[in-house]
Amino acid sequence: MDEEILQDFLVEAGELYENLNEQLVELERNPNDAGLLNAIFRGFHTIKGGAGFIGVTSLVELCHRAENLFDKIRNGEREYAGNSVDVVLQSYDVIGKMIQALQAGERDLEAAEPGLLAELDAAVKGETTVLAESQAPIEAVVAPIIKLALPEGVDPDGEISDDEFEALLNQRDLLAMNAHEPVVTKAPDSPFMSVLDPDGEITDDEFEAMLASLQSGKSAQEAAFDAAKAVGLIVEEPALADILTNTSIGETVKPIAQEPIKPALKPIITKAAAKLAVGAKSGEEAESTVRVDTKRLDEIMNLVGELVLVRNRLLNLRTLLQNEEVSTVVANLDHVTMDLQASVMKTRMQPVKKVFSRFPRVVRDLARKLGKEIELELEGEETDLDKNLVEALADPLVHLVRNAVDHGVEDPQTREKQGKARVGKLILSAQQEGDHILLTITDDGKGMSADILRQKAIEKGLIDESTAAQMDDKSAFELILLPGFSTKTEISDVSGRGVGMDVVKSTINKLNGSIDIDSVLGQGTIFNIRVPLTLAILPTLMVGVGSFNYAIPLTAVQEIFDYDVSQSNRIDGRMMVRLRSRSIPLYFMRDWLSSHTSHEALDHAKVVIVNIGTAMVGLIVDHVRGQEEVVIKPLGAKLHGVQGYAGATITGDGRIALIIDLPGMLSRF
Amino acid sequence: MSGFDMSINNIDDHEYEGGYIRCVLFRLDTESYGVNVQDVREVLRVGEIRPVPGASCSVLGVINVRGVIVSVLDTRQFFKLSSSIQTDLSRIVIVEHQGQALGLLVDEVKEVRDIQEEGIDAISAVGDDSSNRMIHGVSHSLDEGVIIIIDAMKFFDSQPSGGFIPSQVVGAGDDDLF
Repeated sequence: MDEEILQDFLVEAGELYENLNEQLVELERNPNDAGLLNAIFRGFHTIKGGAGFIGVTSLVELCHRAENLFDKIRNGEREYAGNSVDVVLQSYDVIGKMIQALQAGERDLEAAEPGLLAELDAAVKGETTVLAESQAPIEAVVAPIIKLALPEGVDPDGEISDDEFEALLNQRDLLAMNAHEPVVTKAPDSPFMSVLDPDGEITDDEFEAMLASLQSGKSAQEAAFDAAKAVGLIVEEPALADILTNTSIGETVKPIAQEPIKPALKPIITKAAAKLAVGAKSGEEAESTVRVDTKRLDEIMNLVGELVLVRNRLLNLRTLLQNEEVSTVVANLDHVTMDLQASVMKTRMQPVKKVFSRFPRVVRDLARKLGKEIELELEGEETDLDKNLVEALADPLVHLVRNAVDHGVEDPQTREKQGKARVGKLILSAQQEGDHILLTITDDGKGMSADILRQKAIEKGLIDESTAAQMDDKSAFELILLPGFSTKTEISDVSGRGVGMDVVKSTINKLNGSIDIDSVLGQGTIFNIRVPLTLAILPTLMVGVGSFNYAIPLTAVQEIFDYDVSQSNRIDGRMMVRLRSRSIPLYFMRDWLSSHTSHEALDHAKVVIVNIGTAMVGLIVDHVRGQEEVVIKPLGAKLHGVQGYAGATITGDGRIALIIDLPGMLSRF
Repeated sequence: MSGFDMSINNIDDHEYEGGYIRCVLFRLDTESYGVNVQDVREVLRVGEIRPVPGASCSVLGVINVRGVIVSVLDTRQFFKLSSSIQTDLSRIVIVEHQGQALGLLVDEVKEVRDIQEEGIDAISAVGDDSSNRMIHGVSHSLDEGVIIIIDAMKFFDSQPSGGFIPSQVVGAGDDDLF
């Protein structure tokens, strides 16, 4: 098992697990919230995918069933109520235990309890069976405790006779002697089983912890011994002396034997759980890396930016002051600031290799499982991109690659029949394309049929027939990105639920990226994903309008020239400028940006020609200040809806420049 | 924009038994307003406020608070007062809500004061008025007179009642030249 990938999975699964906790709780309040159901479904789905990849079958089995159940629930075929809730929460706990066990360094997990799996299956089928719960393991743990607490012949209800007390003492001696021999764990037909109702005070969690402690090497006997000792049955010498001197022996022992057992057990079990937790912690390896929220990195970036501004001011002061000592200190600060800035920037950049490295394994395992032969080619692994992008891209790429292996590439026989090479080819590549990164996933498989996709979408009620008829092939391919679209009727744990592509699209959109699909039937499919190089820094052209600065994304800027009224015409009420035998519409930034309109003093104005989509327009600005790489900051509260701005930034002199969002700005004109 | 030193008067936690709200008192026009000190992150002198063309007219613009862009509201508009001229006493009160910050331009920041919760009376609401929505209640104190206690959180999702023009309209309306 690849340790690095495993660690990644654990971090991810841990997060998903945390989220599921909240979501499941929330779901009980809103059992019909479709978004919530989808989120939970995806949560299980993703954990399952990761677990399948690292080969933890027990976790896969459990998640797969939970996922099945939620698939039914979100389709309205089942209700999230009664038994389903119990069984889901139980499964959730077991999943948590499994993740914890993996974190603690265990690698060979035992399969989940068959009863629980059966319960889940039943819930999926809609049957209501008597919830067996995890009675068996509970009994197994409780039994030794009961056994100790109640040696045979002890009458729990009556006063404890001398004989019975003798028996208790013997029991203790016996335990001391046979410390290494397993205690008989047969559950006695004791009246206390009813007291130790599994639904009572002792929660499943605690018993799970006990179970885990048993598995983690502590013999049943030791655990039971601890437990009994804590209850007070096995008394330490001084305490024993006390009891012996006490005339009302019965009264001393009685509270132990009767009701108090239930509360008394609780601390024992909690203690055992705590012990286990400590043990687990010491077993974990110290990691050399720390996962940092990118928000914190952003904060650091912000502060470093501010530091740079302060430094700049100091540098100005230095030349004014002409003080040697100050100069030395400021020069020092200058260096440190530069290094700090570079380091902070570096923390955000990572080679795309970090994502790609997992795919050879993904493809190999999956291909073997499906009986396919596939060769994976990786290109452009060293391409650097923003850390949060690298992390965010991992999931969608896994989905796409799995899909390509599962749905795209045919099995060797089919390929040979069609005259293709026996071994299918899958190419995963990354390359920089201007300020974007282009990721492509190319397979030479069977491709997609636009007609079948249209048909399927109509059947599923995603689109109507007239829409389908108007749809070109490329749009038809994009139908697969819709939620709930899956062309595979049989559900496997590989893909085919129509959940993956949905996740892919929403993730890419969140990154300001785009995805397009091209496919030729019988020849293969290409997925092109474009994401910005970084989410934080934007190369811009800084322009001045009036007394304020605006930043225009540099990628859109084509050329800049002086505004010459004689070269512009009014065509159909719109000002146009002639540029190499083309007329380009002009937009006066000043008009847009201020309420009063004035065309005076346009002598020194500049025309900035920009590309907006496929159109070209000229923006008239007062000054062109030059190129500047800016850190995009969100506009403050209450300004998020304002069209025409991509954000704001702080320029070298500490002032604010607004970043123009060209399509938004044009729609406002 | 340097920090403003708030003088803290009238504070002795152990003296009172009833509930008190610690408020930052500020002035708009002639009236005193109070905002819960827990909602206030800081008080700044007014520096350059960068206007954002196209934004709602209640938003004066944005300022740079140590690298973070914060919108500044014309607080007067929310209480049906005419826009003011900034003076040397003008301050920006930065209020915080769920990690988001918002600046409120006020005419003067006076002090921090504990206001007895019991003494705050709800004002009789007349219709669904935005200025009413902002006001949590009114406190009557002997020396300070009437203090209008406002709910700073309401600024995050409210628009002033009069004179609000949706952003798109500002742009389109004024620039219908082409």
